[in-house]
Amino acid sequence: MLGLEVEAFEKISPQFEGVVAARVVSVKPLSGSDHLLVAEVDAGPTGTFTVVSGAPNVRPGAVGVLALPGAKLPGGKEVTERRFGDVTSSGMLCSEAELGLTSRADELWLLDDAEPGADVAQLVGEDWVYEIGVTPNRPDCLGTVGIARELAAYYGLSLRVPQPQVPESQESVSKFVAVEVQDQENCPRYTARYLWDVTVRPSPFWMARRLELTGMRAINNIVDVTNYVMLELGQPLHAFDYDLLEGGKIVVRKASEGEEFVTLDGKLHKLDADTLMICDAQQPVAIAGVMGGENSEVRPETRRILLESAYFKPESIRRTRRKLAINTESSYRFERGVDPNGVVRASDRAAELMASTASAKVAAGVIDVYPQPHEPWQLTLRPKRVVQVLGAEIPLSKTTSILKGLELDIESTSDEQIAVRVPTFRPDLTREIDLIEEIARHYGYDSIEPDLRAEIDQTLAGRGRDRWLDRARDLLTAMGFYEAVNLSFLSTLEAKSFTTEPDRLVRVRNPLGEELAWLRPSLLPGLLASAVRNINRRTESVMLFEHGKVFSRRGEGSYEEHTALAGLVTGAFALRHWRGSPRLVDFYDAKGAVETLLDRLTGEKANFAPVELPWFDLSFSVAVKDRTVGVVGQLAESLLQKFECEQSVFAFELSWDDLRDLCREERVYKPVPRFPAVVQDLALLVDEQVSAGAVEEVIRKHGGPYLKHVELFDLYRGKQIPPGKKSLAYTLRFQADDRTLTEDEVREWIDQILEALKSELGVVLRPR
Amino acid sequence: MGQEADSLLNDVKTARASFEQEIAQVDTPEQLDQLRIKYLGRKGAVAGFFSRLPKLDPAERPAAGNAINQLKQFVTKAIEEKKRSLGSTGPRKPVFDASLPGTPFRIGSRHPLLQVLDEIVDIFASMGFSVETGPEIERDYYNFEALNIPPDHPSRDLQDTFYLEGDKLLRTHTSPVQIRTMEKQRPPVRMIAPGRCFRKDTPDATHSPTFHQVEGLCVDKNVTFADLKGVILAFAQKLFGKDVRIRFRPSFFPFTEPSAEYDFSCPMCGGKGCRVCKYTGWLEISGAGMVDPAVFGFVDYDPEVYTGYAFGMGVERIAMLKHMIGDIRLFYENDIRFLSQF
Ligand SMILES: [Zn+2]
Repeated sequence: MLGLEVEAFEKISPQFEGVVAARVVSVKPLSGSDHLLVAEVDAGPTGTFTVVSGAPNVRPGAVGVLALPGAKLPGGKEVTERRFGDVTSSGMLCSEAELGLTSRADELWLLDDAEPGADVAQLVGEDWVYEIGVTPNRPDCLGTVGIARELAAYYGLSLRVPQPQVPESQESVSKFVAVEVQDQENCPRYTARYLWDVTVRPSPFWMARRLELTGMRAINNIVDVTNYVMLELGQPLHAFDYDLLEGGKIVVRKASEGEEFVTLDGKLHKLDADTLMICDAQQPVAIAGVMGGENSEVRPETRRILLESAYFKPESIRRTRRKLAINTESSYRFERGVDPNGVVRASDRAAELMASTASAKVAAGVIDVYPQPHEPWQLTLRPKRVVQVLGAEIPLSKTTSILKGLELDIESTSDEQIAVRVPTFRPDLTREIDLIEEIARHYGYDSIEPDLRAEIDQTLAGRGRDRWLDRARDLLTAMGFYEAVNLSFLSTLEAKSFTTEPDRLVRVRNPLGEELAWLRPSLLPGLLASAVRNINRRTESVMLFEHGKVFSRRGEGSYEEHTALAGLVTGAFALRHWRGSPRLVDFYDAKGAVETLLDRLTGEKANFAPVELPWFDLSFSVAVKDRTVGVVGQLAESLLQKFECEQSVFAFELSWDDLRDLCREERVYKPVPRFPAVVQDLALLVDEQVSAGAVEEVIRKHGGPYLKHVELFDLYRGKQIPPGKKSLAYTLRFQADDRTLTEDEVREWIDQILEALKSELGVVLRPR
Repeated sequence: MGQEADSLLNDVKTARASFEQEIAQVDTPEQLDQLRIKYLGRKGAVAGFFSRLPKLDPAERPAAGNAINQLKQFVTKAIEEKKRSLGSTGPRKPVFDASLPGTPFRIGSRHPLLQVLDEIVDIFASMGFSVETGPEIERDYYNFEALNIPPDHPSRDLQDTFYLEGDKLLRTHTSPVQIRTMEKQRPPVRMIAPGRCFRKDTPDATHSPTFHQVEGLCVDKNVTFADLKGVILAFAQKLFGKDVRIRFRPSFFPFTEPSAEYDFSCPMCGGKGCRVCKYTGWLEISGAGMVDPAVFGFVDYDPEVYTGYAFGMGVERIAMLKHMIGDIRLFYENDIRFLSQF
């Protein structure tokens, strides 16, 4: 409810039973083995047992954990008695890993203060792990204290934060460490502490367990402390092995161009002059805020530590992180902005924990290079503005208590304005609107009532959807086409197969893969791929259409896009039915769809003219009123082979942008004819070379004013027709608006038509 | 008795005899019908006999008329009976079977995703929002900068972007249309921007590198967060029914402040919890918020005078919820067995 989304929530319970605390009473070597030991252990009321163990840290007096015979371990393992020569081992002493608690498997888990015989599952108890999504504006919530602060404010509780008590010794830090910040712009604050007499060993169970439950890996007490404090306070820390730092000195500077550096994960990086580096007196030892170096890493034999806690400029860390492609918990926090005034507290907390877990001695004081301290900044909030933005009246007292809960200092309050100081851990609060959001969050979005009475200015609601496109889509679906939606991306083969200008194809700079590298120059490749997919899935009759943007490149960084409308037909013309199998589709079906569509949209007859395009074997440009709006044709056989399509495919593609202009906005009613028509059929013998279009044109031209309709109803070749000829049969309809035409009148026009057909095209009536 | 009358009565008698013969031969309704026309039709035998009556001596007419009427009654009755008997024994022709499948008309349908998109657009259009569009290849400025997402801003990580040459990219949301609209129009503005968007997501059950979004914007004097909740509530109820409730949760977007994620109560289970809502009772829909004053700065609106809200929604997600579709890729496969269900 606060914008901290609980993405997952898990209750963690120990996955073992029958495991008890047991004090090691005595240890002796197992005869015949060079590494196994026989231990007598005292498990209090449970009894005394003899166990065999190979762990290096079995020693008298230690309290380990004993899995008794019959105990159940994680993964369904059950402990049994085992014989080692003449010794019977009654159970086993376990490591944390064997109990599924952490990944630490090298040593036995030793308990510090458990009563022998105590049930270990109970000692461990239950834990809860919350996975919380933190939005990028809230670096303060990248630590448990920040989350706790939000919850405390929301529930009106008081917040208890760790108050580090550092057991500092007499020796001053300045005796051992010097810090020089050369790039103060990108490193506004750098602090260092010095610790010595450090014992590097596994960190205590509670710390390792918590780190590993949050997904980090327990390494050793020094590294673990830096990670633990980061998870607690949100401040990343870095521990250097002091003895590996030349001259006990830290220099913060930019890398030199081309400088090479090996990070502690063993990877070699080539740096540029923009990379902020942490160096010793001679060489880099860490990429600032991102990752430490192999050359200064804390090792088991490390005795002295230099502890870094700093504030780096977010932009600088972000640039470096992106350039080097290293994402770390540390860079994640620095690039979102840590609290510049929380740097020392984190250092103190880490020193306190290192003193207790690594028996470290801590030098007095902190080297703190912070030439221009960040101060909490002032903001004012107008309660009236809160109402203006949120539409809810929030009492002034509620407003101030929310701000206080978030640790904002309220300097003055009136009905007109509230003046606050924003703590430096909230870099997201820089404007009044940011405060209003805080009020809304903590007041509760759900407490703001929806207002349904908003006035609608009807003059604004001008534009709805493109109704002509709607009409086109209705027409195509009525004709049997399904509407398709394809991705806008194509493979190289697809893109190059459907363009005449390959250098105008648009390539994505960072494509998902070569299969999706180009923006479509045409809708046809997507439709073809969809058709092939259907055919492969045994739907062989496919009619699809799609409308959408197609793209082309005009020049460097300059592109064009326009809306296209395309369709495709393949397979049978009709659905199967018991009265007989339907015919296969052909060119005329694609052409007919275009004719119907254009007629219904524009009220005009479409004209078709041959055109050559590499992806068609047979194709025609489509024009309406002398304006070319697209193409229709049969997809090329060679192309279909490439796309593994074994049946003929006919397709059309229209420019919707052009067609849209031609759509007839106004329709004026024409009277329905009142007088009957005279209908005359003509069967003509036509030379194969003469097209039906030419014949029809002559008929229309010479048919006179009453010829209202010419329809080809039969095309015949074969018996009774001489070779090289075809028979075309037309129905002609003559009609006048004001009277019934006489047979004689019509006869005159027919004669005129026949005469013209004969003289212009050599076409004659087919002999009976 | 005159010769005419004699001949007429004789013919009537002969006709009756030949009718009896002929009707015995009839075994289909069609044949029976032909027989009926032959004897009882307008130009049939009976009518022919009646037409000869005037030629008879007036005194002989009643008797002759009577004989013809008897023939007529006899024929009519015999045909009726035959018709009934034909009906009961059944014809030898194939039986007409109305249970055979009718003609399967081939019609297509609009794509389910676009049906949902159209529905969303129509709902907002009915609430007074105008429909605006913009290019799919956008400039960095409109897609990010003017939406208060400067270069190097961490929130650019949230959206993996496809880049083209120069400052051009494939828009990651339809929010750039807000900026383009505000640039050319002074408040009040009340618009939605439906359209295709692109993010560099590897296709899986819930991600597609191409997807559809509807973005809404309202800027005027006195536009509040409460109005935003009102418009989202009205939309939710028009889309999923009037029992749907809404929930707003704080979130972060660079171009809105305060920002919210909004949810609808699950219309499948009424909020009680089911598989669709993963037993939470709520469906996460998308993000919304009050337009950040910084955005107004880019289009030169005075944030002291005007306030506004903006909201977005993913069309795929809503279509998946509406039709219980579990895999977003189905929308982009165009399998006719899928498309024909809508
Ligand atoms: Zn549900």
